[in-house]
Amino acid sequence: MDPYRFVVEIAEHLRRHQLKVGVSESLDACQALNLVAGYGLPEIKTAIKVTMIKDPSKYHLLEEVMSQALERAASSEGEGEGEDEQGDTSSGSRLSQVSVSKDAQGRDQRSDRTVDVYMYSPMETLSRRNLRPIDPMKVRLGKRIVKRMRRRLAVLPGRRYRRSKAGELDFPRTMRAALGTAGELLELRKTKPILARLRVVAFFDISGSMDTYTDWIVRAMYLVKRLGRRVEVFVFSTRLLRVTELLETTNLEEIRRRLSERVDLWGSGTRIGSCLKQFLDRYGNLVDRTWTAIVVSDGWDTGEPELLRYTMEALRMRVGRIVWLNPHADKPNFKPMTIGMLTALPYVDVLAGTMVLEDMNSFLRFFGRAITPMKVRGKPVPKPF
Amino acid sequence: MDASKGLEFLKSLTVESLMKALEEKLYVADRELATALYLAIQMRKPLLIEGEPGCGKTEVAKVLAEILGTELIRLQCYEGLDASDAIYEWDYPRQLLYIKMLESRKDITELESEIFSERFLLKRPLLRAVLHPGPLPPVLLIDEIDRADEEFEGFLLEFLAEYQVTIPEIGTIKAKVEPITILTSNRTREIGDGLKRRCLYYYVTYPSKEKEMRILKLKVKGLSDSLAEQLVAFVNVLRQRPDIMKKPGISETLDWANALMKLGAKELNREVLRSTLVCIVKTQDDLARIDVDSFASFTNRQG
Repeated sequence: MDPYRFVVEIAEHLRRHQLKVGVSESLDACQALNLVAGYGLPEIKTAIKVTMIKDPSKYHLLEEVMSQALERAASSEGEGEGEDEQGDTSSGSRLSQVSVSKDAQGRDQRSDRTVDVYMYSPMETLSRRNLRPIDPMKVRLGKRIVKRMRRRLAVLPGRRYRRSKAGELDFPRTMRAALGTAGELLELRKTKPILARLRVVAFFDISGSMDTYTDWIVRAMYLVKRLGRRVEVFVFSTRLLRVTELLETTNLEEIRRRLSERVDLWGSGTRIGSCLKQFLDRYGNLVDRTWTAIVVSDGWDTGEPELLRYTMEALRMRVGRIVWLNPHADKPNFKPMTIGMLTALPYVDVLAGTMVLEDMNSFLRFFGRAITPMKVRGKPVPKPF
Repeated sequence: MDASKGLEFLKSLTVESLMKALEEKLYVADRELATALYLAIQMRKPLLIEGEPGCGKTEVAKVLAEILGTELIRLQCYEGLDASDAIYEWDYPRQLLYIKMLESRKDITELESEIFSERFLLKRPLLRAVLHPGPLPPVLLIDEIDRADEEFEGFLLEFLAEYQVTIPEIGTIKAKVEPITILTSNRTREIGDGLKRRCLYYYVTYPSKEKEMRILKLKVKGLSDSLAEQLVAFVNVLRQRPDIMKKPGISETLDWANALMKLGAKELNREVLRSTLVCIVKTQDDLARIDVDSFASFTNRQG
């Protein structure tokens, strides 16, 4: 069989399955097939795999597309001249080889994918939820806002520098300036880094009162995770659960699946104070003044207000800034009335609606039109009581 | 292996010879990985290896350099890594001193060409790989590329496609011998399409029980079969539990086996398990989720 035609067939199949297979991948595959020409089918498969399938979640397509491509190539050869009987036979034998190896290789194929095995756990509750698919269009819109939010909330220096008399001596720029004056150092250039990065710890309330926002919460978790490289995401209702690792993939469907299967707190009661206390006790060392805390909740709290006040104070001391996103804050005449919200408000730097992650106008309304980083609150940090 | 033997090995390279050489260096590779490495070497294309932490991604590059008897050039990626740390940087203090020394003696054009010459260049890993004299190609390991910023991937594109770097003041320097390049990623973020397109791609997952047993026997001398079986069975149960966030990799299994050997443990019982669990479970959350007592019965059954 013509290896070039074989590769083209496979490339077409893979593209139909949303795999990005360009000409360069096809060329690589041809070169790889030439290199493994003297080897057997497993090496041919590996050659196709390493050159054309660069997403492990699509590895299961390999058997399928290879057998289909071989089948198609064999039938087109049969339909052709048919003078080369030997060629037909060899195609046929390769085809049967693939179908046999499909069964024999079944175990290997499965081992490429993650297999979740469910076991008994005393912590199991019945509040898992089959989440709806995440709308990629809305995520795409949200990504623009995330970029803007990243700049607005940035507190850490990025890689870019700007001139500043208060900055540090910049050797490269000083040298460049010196070249303009025949190597004479007339001016020492000083620069300081532009604030461009942030670290975020986000808490999402997934209790019963937030049920109507479940789709938004899942999208928001995905978007908030992309605010920076150091982002920790937690969900809470009556207890706290860290979900950062569940979000460490860009595959929306995979995130939906993981959150559906592994988060078991959907729709229960709310104890914000106790959950924040759990965070401070167990993960308090993770954060410092360079971190921004984002709390997403409507403020309905069935826990002790005193505990909430204490933990909000403690959180305020730990992190540089607290942003509270309340779905009701999008309404024009919103006034914080819930006990939870009223207790937390003195420690919150920005109170905004949840639409800030969906709608640019809403973002601008709450975070302002400026693109420079917001100042970290200057007034003294509340003292613990 | 000296340079001539390394060159000879490369000339007569086959998948089998590579597998054998890897095993001789105590690296158990399956045929698929050996084929991927073989193709990467023959096609002179970078190999991007992604997968769970502790599954031997970095080790592949180290062992390959050892097999060939060539230099391993390592670029460890981290957040904020930029061209000046990865490719080159001008030695500015020396340049300044040189300017001061020669001022009033030379004209500006001559001075400029002199101070922006290779002499004042601080060579970082990628430039070192490009300037490697050969004849044996170096092994360049770009480790944990997912930790670097997305912008850094842009810097890498020219290098990975052409094995060349461009220094504006000097020009483009092309590699005399193209390095064997291996990139690794723990998949904490998705690598850009541009970079993936320039690489061959291989995904490593946790090994099968049989393979892990082989690795243990090869790497941990004196480990009894029954203890090895217990370790592998226990680690596999942890890997299959969805509530365990940081799943133990092969390196954790090896650390655990070594720890048990040091402690002189003969079997995996409740006490041993409790005192050595930290070797494989690395977060407080996961430790809290594991009920040692329930596992003790499991390990006894295995034993």
